[in-house]
Amino acid sequence: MVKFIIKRILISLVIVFMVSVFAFFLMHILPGDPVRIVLGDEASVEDVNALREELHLNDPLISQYFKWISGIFTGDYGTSITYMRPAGEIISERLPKTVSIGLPALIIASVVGIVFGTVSAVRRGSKLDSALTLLSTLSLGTPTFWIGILLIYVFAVELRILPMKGYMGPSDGLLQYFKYSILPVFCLSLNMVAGITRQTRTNMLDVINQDYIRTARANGISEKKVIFKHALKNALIPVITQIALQVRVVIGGSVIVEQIFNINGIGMLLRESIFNRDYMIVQTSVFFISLVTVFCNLVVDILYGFVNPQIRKSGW
Amino acid sequence: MMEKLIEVKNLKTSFFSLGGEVKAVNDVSFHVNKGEIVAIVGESGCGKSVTQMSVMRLIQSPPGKILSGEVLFEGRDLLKLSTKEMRLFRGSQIAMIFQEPMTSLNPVYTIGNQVSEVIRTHFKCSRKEAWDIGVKALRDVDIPEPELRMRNYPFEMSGGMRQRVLIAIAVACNSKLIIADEPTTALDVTTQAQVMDLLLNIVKTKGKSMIVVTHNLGLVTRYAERIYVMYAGRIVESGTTRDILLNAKHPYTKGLLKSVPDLYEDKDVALIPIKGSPPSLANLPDGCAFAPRCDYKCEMCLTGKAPELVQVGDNEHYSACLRNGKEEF
Repeated sequence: MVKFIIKRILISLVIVFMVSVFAFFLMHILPGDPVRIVLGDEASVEDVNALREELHLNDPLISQYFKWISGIFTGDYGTSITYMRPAGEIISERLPKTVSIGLPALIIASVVGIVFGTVSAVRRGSKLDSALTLLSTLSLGTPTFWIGILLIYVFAVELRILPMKGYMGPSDGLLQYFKYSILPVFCLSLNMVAGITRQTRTNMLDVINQDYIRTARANGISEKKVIFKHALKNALIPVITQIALQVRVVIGGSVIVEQIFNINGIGMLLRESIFNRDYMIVQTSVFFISLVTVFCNLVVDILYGFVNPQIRKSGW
Repeated sequence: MMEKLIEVKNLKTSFFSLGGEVKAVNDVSFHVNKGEIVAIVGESGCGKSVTQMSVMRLIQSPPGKILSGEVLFEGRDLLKLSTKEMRLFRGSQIAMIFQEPMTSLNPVYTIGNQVSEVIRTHFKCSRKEAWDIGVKALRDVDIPEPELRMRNYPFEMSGGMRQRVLIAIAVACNSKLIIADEPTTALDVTTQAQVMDLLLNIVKTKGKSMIVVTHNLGLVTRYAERIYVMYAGRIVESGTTRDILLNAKHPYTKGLLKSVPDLYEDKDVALIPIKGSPPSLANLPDGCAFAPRCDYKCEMCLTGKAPELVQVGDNEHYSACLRNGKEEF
């Protein structure tokens, strides 16, 4: 098991390195000059050159890359060209907002998705199953921004029971946090619930038809145990992967959700910074997002080992 | 007269699909006496496994349904038990051993976990006691180092060993009847003999009864005391193993016997297969279901109802053919 974990960590490091290279070079390949965007078209060539020099933008790309990446390891994340402040500071201001929406969304989506999927599979062919399948297909096919607008219209404009937009964190009082975050969390989790429900249902149906389930039933094991002990553990193995992949969806989704609900989080920052060619913010955010994603995958791989003895015992 | 442990009377099980009703078990009756080994023989898809699954009430519903009949186990009709009573019956009174040992154990739990779970379902005992009963049961089925094996996962064991684990569960729970559905089909030949000998030994020493479901006539002749031959959802001939082997009356049974190779006879004698293939159970022909493939059919075989089982000899020898005893063929 230790060997297995070490192997996974080494692979993760390689992936993080490659992502850092991509994040850096993709940003620099984009046409458009950040200095021109900040100083405007009227700025003199001397001013532009001076700022370029100050931000090391005239250095060769390779040396810019090494300057950035070595900064990351020493806690210096570069300076945001739009805000003229350290990029790390800006990101750490925005991050809690995104996490306080994204994490509940992910947790709720996982729990609800697994419950819905299991119920759907166990009651296969029933009206409940049809209803859940219809709902999940609908929400998979509906764009997040449209649902967001619809939710705002119904709950904020017509019913006036929830705020239209803005953000209150848990530190502003739980009730406030709840009021402001319920719509964005719902909006963000809808797609994920649908995905996880379908994945769980499919796996569960597959597992229920396995020989060992028949054996368990033939041995007099109660139906509750057959489903929750024998079937669910096997069915959840692929679902765990699905959930880890949702981390990516949360981050992608937060770009849209934060825009709709006007939440000043990482998603919004990222969108702005790409338009402003704010290299340091984008590179550093993408780097940390990839770090989180890779870390989640690592955790899943290790979890896999616990769920699936075959992986744990063979050391891979 | 021997005491009957289980008696199945006029059992009918069908599957309902878009293509219509599939009569998988069509008016089947059989019984097993205490301490007896009985074989149910037939081709794939003749309803032999479905018959056993119906006895256990493990038919998936929908699409399957037990339409009528009685399954009397020591006089009690299993089809009338509540779901919970039936569940506790499974594994404790009747144990079932399946064809696919490789996939019949849950891959994510240890052998010990799965064995003691079944024990704890049927007996009031602590985890520790269940574990000890499990170890003893593994030893009873000749699994070496049972204490260590209890901590293994199924993928760490061979097919033969896994089949022994499944047999151990039956032993541990003291089932009176073991239903072995093609218990050795997935195993290699040497393991087949070991597993069958083990089963035989357990049945004989512990006074259990056993139903062996198989398509392998060679296998059953060595172990079974009586044989039921099934074709297209019905029993077409039944009798003692001796009667079936030496004095078969039904053309289908004769066909089966001719298609089994004999080690002691002339190597150059060609095996004689039964022509054609079994009928679709969704669309059975009129009259005798075997008639289209039968060399001895007459006009009467192709119309009317399927022939009934008729006694054709002493020792409860029955055959369902219109020509029974009337004419030699």
